[in-house]
Formats: sequence, C-alpha cells, structure tokens
Amino acid sequence: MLAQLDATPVETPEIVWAGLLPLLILSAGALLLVMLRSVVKRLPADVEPHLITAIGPITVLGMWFAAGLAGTDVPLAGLRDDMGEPAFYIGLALVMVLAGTLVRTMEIGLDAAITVGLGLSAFAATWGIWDDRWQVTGPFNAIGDQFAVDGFALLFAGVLAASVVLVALLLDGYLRRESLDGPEMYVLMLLSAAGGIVMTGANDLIVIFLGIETLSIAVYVMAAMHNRRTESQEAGLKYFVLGAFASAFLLYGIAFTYGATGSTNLVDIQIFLSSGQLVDNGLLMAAFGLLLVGFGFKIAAAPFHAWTPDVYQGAPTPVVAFMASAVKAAGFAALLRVFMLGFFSHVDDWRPAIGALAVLTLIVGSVMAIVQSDVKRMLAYSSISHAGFILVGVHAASLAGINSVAFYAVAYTFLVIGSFGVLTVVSGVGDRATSLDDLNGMAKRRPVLAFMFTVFLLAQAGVPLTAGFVAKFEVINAAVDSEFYWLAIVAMLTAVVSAFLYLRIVLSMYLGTADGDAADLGDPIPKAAGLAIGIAFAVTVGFGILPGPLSDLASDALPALIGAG
Amino acid sequence: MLGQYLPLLALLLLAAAFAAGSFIASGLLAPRNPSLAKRAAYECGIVPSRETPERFPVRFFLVAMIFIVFDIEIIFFYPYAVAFGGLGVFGLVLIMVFTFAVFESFVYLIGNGALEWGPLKQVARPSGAVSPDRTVETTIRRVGLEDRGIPADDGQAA
Amino acid sequence: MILGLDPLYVGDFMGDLLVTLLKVVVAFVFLLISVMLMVWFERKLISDMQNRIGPSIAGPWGILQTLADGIKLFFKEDLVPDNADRFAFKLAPYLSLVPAFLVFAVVPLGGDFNGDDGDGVVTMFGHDTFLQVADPPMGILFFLAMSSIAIYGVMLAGWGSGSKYPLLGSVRASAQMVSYEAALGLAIAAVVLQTGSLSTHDMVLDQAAPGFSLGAFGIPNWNIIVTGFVPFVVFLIAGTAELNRPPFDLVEAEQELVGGFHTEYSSIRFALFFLAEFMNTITMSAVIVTLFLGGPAGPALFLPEGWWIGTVWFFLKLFIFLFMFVWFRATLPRFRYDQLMDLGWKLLIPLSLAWFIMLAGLRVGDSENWSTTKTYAFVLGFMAFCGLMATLLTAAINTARSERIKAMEDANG
Repeated sequence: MLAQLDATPVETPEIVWAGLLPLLILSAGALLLVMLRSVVKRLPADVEPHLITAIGPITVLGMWFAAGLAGTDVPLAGLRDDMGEPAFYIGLALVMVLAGTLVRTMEIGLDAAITVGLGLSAFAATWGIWDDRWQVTGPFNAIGDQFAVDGFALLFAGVLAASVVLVALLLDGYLRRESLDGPEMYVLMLLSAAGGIVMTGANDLIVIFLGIETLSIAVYVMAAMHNRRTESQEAGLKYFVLGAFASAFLLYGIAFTYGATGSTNLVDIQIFLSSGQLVDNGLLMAAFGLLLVGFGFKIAAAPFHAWTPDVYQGAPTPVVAFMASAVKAAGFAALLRVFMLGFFSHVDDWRPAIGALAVLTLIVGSVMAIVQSDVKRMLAYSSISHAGFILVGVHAASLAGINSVAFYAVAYTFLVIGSFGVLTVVSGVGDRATSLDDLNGMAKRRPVLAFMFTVFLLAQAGVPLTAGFVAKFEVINAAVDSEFYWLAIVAMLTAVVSAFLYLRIVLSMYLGTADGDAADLGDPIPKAAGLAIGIAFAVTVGFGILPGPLSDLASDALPALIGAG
Repeated sequence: MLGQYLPLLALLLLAAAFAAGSFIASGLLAPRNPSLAKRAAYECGIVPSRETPERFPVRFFLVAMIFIVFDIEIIFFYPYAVAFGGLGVFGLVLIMVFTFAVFESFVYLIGNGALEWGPLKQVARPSGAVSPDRTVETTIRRVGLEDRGIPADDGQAA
Repeated sequence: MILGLDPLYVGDFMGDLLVTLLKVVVAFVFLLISVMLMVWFERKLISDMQNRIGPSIAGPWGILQTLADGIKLFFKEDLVPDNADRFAFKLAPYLSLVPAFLVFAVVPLGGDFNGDDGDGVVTMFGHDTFLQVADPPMGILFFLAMSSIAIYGVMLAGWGSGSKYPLLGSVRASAQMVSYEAALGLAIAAVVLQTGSLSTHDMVLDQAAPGFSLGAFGIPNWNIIVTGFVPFVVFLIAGTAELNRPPFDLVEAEQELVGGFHTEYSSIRFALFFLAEFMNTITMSAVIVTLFLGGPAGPALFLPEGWWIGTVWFFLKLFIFLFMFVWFRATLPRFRYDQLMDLGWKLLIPLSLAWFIMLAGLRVGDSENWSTTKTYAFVLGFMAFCGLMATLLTAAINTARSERIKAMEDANG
C-alpha cells in the first residue's frame, strides 16, 4: 500500500505567480518585517533616519518592480514611449528623490515606513495585474481552480492595500503617542490584509474560510493591542469570542453547503445548482442561513452587530479605521462572491433573507446611533447603517448592484479612514477624549481638521458633492432598477435619520464651547496622520465631484468564475 | 485495521485494574492513623504558614502556549513525511515555506525574550557575594582572611 | 467483537481472542518483572560505579530487593493532604502508570525479519501473528500521544497535592517535557520520512531490508545510519529529558524541591509513580531500538534462523540503552534549568527542523532522479541557508539578552 502511495503522484495545482503578487508582497513582507525587527530592535541614532529616508526611493523601485512583475510589460510603457527613454528614466529618478524627501518630512518611524512601502507595492502590483494582465487576457485562475483573479477581486485587493497604507500612516503617530512602539501592529495589519486578499479572490468556500480566519485572528489581536487600557483588552476578548462563534457558524454553513451540493468549490456548486439536480433544498436553505450569520457578523449587519459598538469604542482608533474599512470590504467581497456567483441560481431563495438583514441593519444602525453620547460609538452605529446600505446593493442581485457595492466599498473605505483618522489625532493620550462633549469647540482649536471632519461626516450622511452621496445614490438606484421600491424608501428614510447624528457632531464642533479642561489642546498633529487624512479628504471630495473614473472602475470590476479549464 | 486496537484496550484495562487492585490491597493492608501533622503540606518540617499556592511563574504558562503552537506545526510534518513521495518538488517547496514560517515565528519569540531563562551574569551579580579576588578554582569569597595578613590566594586571580 | 479480529488471524474466533489475551498478559507480566530487574540493575550498577556494594541481602545478589521494597510500600500508611484536590490527587497515579504500560504495546519484540521471507510473522498455536501486542496503523503517533498523557499525570499530581514543592516541581516537569516533546516529534518525523509509514512493524521491516554494502560487510539499513545520526542523537537527548532522568532530573532536584511532584505521595501511590518512571525508561529504550536500531531485525550473520533470534537481538539492543541510561545517571551532573530550556528550544528544535527538511529534500531528489550535481547543489544551498538562519537565531538570542540587560539597568537606575 505504501509503495503505491509513493508511486502515484498527487496532482499539483498550476500556479500563476504574477496573479498572487499582491498577496505575496503583503504576507512575505510581514514575515520579513517581523524577522528583521526581532533581531534588530534598536538602530544606532545616526543610522536610523538615513535608513528611513532610503525607504522612500526603495518603495518607488519596489512599486516599479511589483507592477512590472505583475504585468507582462515594463510599467508605464505608454508614458515612456511618449516621453522618450532618457526623459522618462530621469523622471523616475526624480520621483525617487521626491519620495525620499517626502519620507524625511513626514518624520515617520521605520516600521511604518516599511509597511507603507509594502502597501504601496502591493497596490502597484494590483494595478499591474489590472492594467497589463487582466485587461489583456480577462479573468484567470491563480492557483488551480481555488483562487481567481478578476476585476472584482483586484478592485478589493487595491482597496485593502490602500487602507493598509493609510492606516499605517495613522498608526505611526498613534503608537508613539501611546508608547506602544513595535512592529507587531504593522505585521498583524499586513497579515490581516493578506487574509482579506485571499477572501476577495477565493473560489472555494474552504479558501474563503482560510482567508477570513487569517484576517480576523490578526484583527482580534490588534483590537487588544493597547495593553494598558482595559477597554482595549475587553474589546479584543469580546471580538475574539463572538468572532470565533461566527466562524463556527460559517464553517457549519460550509459543511451544509457541501452536504447539499457535494462540493465546496464555487464553480462546482454553481454548475450543480443551476443544473437543477437539487430536488429538496432544505439543507441548502440551512446553509444559506448559516453562511449569512457568519458573514453578517464580519460585516456587522444587524442582528449580528452587537459586538460592534463595544469593540469600536474599546479598540485603538486606527485599528477601528482598519476594521471598518478593510475587514468590512473583504467581508462584502466574500459575501458577494459566494451568493452572487455560487448561489445565483437560487437567488429567489436567499434574496428575502438579505432584504430582511438590510432593513434591520439600516434601522438599527441609524436609530441606535442617535442615543449615543460617545463619538466612537456613534460612528460604530453609523458603520452598521452603512453595512445596511451595501446590503441593499447586494439585495438587488444585479450587475448594477455589484457595481454599486464595489463603488460603495471604495468610497466608504476612504470616508471611514478619514473619520477615524481625525478621531485618532484629537482623542488625546489613551483614547480618552472621544465623547461628544470633548469635541466641543474643536472648530476653534483646529479649524482645518474640523472642516475635514465635517466633510467626512457630511459624506457619510450622503450630502451631494461628496463620494458618499454618489455611493448611496448608486445603491438606491440599483434597488430601484430591480424594482424594490420599498427597500429604496427604507434606505432613504434611514439616511435622513442618520443625517441627524452627523449634524449633531458637526454642531458640537462648531457651536459647542469647550470647558476649561479639554483633553485636546490643539497641539500640532503628527504629519503622517495629517497626510493620511488629507489623502482621504482628497479622495472623498474628488470622487464626489468627479465620480466618473471610480464609477467606470467599479463597473469594470465584475466577479467571474472560471472552471479548472 | 481496527482489530489492532483490541489488544490496546485489553492492556489499558489490565493496567488500570492493576493500579486499582494495588490501591485496594494497600487499603486493606496499610495502617490508618492520620494526624494533623501528617496531613499538612510537607515543607521540610516547617509548619506551613501560608495558603496553598495557586500561582506559579507566568513563564511556564508561556512555554505551554508556545508548545501548543509548535506541536501543532510539527504534527503537520507527519502527513507530509508519509506522503512526500507523490508530492514531489512542489511538496518540498511548500514544506520549506511552511518551515520558514515556523522558524520565523520562532525567531520572533526568541528575539522578544519569550524563552529567556536563567541569570544575567553581567548585571545580576550582587556585589559582595563574590570575592573580588576570586581565583580560577573558585569564586567563593574567603571570609575571615582579611585581617590576618594571609594573602587571599596565590596570585592566580582571574 | 468483529472489530477485535487481527487481520492476520485465521481460524476460530476464540483462538484469536486467546492469542490476543495471551500476548497482552505476557507483555504485562514482562513489563512488571523487567521493572523489578531494572531497579535492581540500576542500583547495583551505580553502586559498582561508585565503589559501593549496593543491595545484597534480599535474594541472591540482592535481586529481590525491589520486590521487598514494593511489598513494604503496601504496608505503609496512605496519606492524602488536607489541602489536596482529592480527585486530581487520586487520579494522577493512574494517568502516570497506564500510558507507561500502553506504549509498550506497539513495540515489536521479536520475529524473524531476515532473508527474503522475513516479514516478522510468527505462528502461535496455529495462528499467524506478530510478536508485538498491537500494530495499529498510527503506531508511533500512539507513543507520542501516550507520552503527552503522561504529562497530565505529573501536572495533576503537583497541582492536586496542594503544596508548594510539588506544584513547582510539576510545572517544571511539564515545561521540560513539553519543551522536549517538540524535538522528539521532529526526530520521529525524520524516521517516518525514511519509512513512509507510521506503523512500528513497517519501520522494522524497512530497516531489515538489505542496506548499503561495503565489500564483504553489509551495513544494516538501520535508521540511525540512513537518517544520518542526528535524529538519533536528538531523540536520545530529548528522550532522556522526557523521562526526567539525569542529567535532566530537575523535576526532583532534592536540594530545591524535595521530591518534586510526588513529594506528598506515600505508600502505594508513590510506588505507582516509581513504577511508571522505570517502566518509561524501559519503553523509551525499546522505542529507540525500534526507531533507530532496527528493533528485532539484526544482521543475519551466521546465526540460525528462527523467531527467537529477533527477540535476542531486541533484548541485546534494549540492554545497551538501559545500561546507557544508568551510566548517564552515574556520570553526568544535573543541568541548570535555563541550560535545559536553552538546549531544548534553541539547539535541538532548530537542528532537527533543518535536518528534517534536508532529509526530505534528499528523499525527493532520490525519487525524482536528480543528478549528483543537482543533489550537491541542493545540499550546499540548503546548508548555506541554514547557516544564515543560524546567524539570525544567534542574533535574536543576543538581542533578547541585551534587551533584558538594558531593562535591568533601567530598573536599577
């Protein structure tokens, strides 16, 4: 028997390494970073600044190589041909010098600089695949039939990479302020984002589970990372226990799906289900329910939202920014992939459940937010209501629905990172000053920051000329297109309700008067955090005024299932 | 194949019966006159003054947690060791990547002092306990030699 | 009861059952007697090494000394301390003793493995069977599982006693045992890689195959040679530590911890721990013999064929290791706790990890028919990589140390 085992070669999957490049950059980078930092804990004071400055040009080179390796041609080949080679390469060198200068003026730490570099390289790799491979050859499989590279996965991978960059910039100043310096937070974030990328492209329920666990376990630890704050510990533990519970539901759902369809592979599931061989679908209904519970937890949809306010309030604020952006985006990507691709033939069976979730989430998110007095809790509920909006797009179960979800996810990522970024810098040491009263008079102390926060909040409320408006518009448009008027009406009504919440924060910033012992004294904010908030602001306003490019991007980004071939 | 487990069960029962039988025999044969001193915790003759310890150094706990992670990782080697023939170079590369990841977390643990035990020779030496003129033979301070005009050692001071 | 049938048995059901029970009882009695002899042997040998006489009163050469001690313990008062967690206190001896018995079941004790038809099958009362109590397909994993359960015995004994020294002794023991279990597992994995099976019988069969021949001399295909000696050394060291035997007997470091985890145990409960300890020594030696020295499969030489020849080989090899363990005890001073931990974690684990990968690479190269150049390139490249990793590990150790020194200096001002 053993001899036979030796003789039969196991079929090994075919791997397209270029398609995995963003994933590889993030995970291998995380491993190398932690290895480097566990050996070299302290750098000599006269070496460290130069090393950090060098990260700038190295990042530019890294992006260049990542994009080149991911694609099939030299990156920016068109531009090079237009400019002529010498001018182009001189330009590149100039960009490198500029990057070095930027890093130097930002005064960021080594770990943060490396993380930003890795995030940008992963972003460049995603862009390279998008521009030079996916648009040329169409969607393809990267590992056997387990991991697909399609526009949808690439868009979300880009979102994840971007949120890694922005949150790393926020984390740098935060960790220094709280004296929590160390590479761990960055490493966990990189690993978490790698898990998220696995989720976005997974073509198999088991691979989705693998991704979701990699993503979640890292975030559990990140939530508990502020080891001197009890709230942070509490948040980590709560998130972990409830998250493990939700994972069990998800796994149970996967088992039921396997029982009903005989496979965990989405391609096989789709083929089996659309062939109509399934006569009694009780098992499949149970599977839908359990999978929805599992995903609903990750995206914080009511009634599985109970952890959200406590965890958002307790966890370190930049981590909350990451949870609200990357984790949510990855969760929606996986949800959409499983239901829209794997289970599309049974859309009439799962659509009512998603509709109920959406309505409940919208109502809970907007109504509960009003009675809160802590800004982090308010934003937690508002993120719940945003999940409801995205669910409206999922519920539409149409091309427009998918596009609106993609658009919403991108826009919301920047909005929420910006909002929590502002909170990070104004909440004072130990994240203490997060109540509504602490924001009183912020417009006088920090006029620019208060203005940006106002814009982020208005964008979350869906005021025109911001990306938030376009996102909400597209989602409701998708619902109307599919003729679900009642859902569109619920969504619009709850948007009005939650607008009240955002206005409350704005009012307290502009009209409230600070009492004498305000925790936030208007000290200069860390430059890196300022850069992150600025980028988020630019994106929010930019895509609000000119939504066209992002809209086109989102409508290109369609998920696809490719069989083993 | 399950047939091979019956003897194990039989041996298990036999061993348990042997232990139980010994207890019963000892219960019948042994004298029984306990006293307070006999039943107290043994502390080398000193009357126990404090409650039972329920805490022990957290380092042991840390070792236990690290062990669980490592043991699970090592268990993954067994399926590979049995089936490596069919997996070929692909399997080899994968197991190498896996091993690298294991090793990398190992370096992290060691670099952060999770497995640091023992004394720090450079700093922790209490002053006075060790003779300043210790010899290559011994580091023990020679007490009582100072005022007698006897040289502390024969010039081999290290 | 159908499940109880050995696939090798043919014939009547009752016969099968009887053969099974016979094997079990023989193994059981054999273990008890060999423990008795082992205790005597250890005391006698150590006394010889230390120029003493040792036990000499009970029976010829004092051979019945252990029996006398055992009987004495039956008549001793059995005490349970007031502070004890009574359930854990009473459960612990079982958890120590029963796994010690069970491990021996998977060790092949004899059978003819030489020649073309040497498959270790013997015929007992008309039944074909192996000379081992059981040959489950998970084989060597069973050994690992049982040695893990034995840790519970130690831990519960210390915890249940409700006393300082046992508690400290048991946490030390558990930390030590788990630390070396990782290295033990990796060393076994190297053997599994060579054999391609977890079954102990298959391992012996594999080692009985003709090995590399040097002119007139045949080098046996034993794993100690084909796995390149390193796993054997790792296993021997880790095994000694698993057994809590000198030089790794910190668990019962008398000067610090009185008797270690069984300080509060008296009478027969103590006897059972004692029994388990020596039984573990015997089974560990037997497992080493099985894994690395071919078990009952010895070189054919000029000896006649027959089932008993395997048994003779097995006991010969077993005796070498028993002697070695006693010798260790007489010769080697005890480790300090940090040295013990450092040896286990920082040397044995990385070493066996690297060795496993190199063996795997060589085996894959073998089955893929790599050219000699390619094989050498792999080995050299891998060794260079290991050198790099070793540098990294050393750097990490130094970093941890200097961080600790710095922290201490900061604290002291």
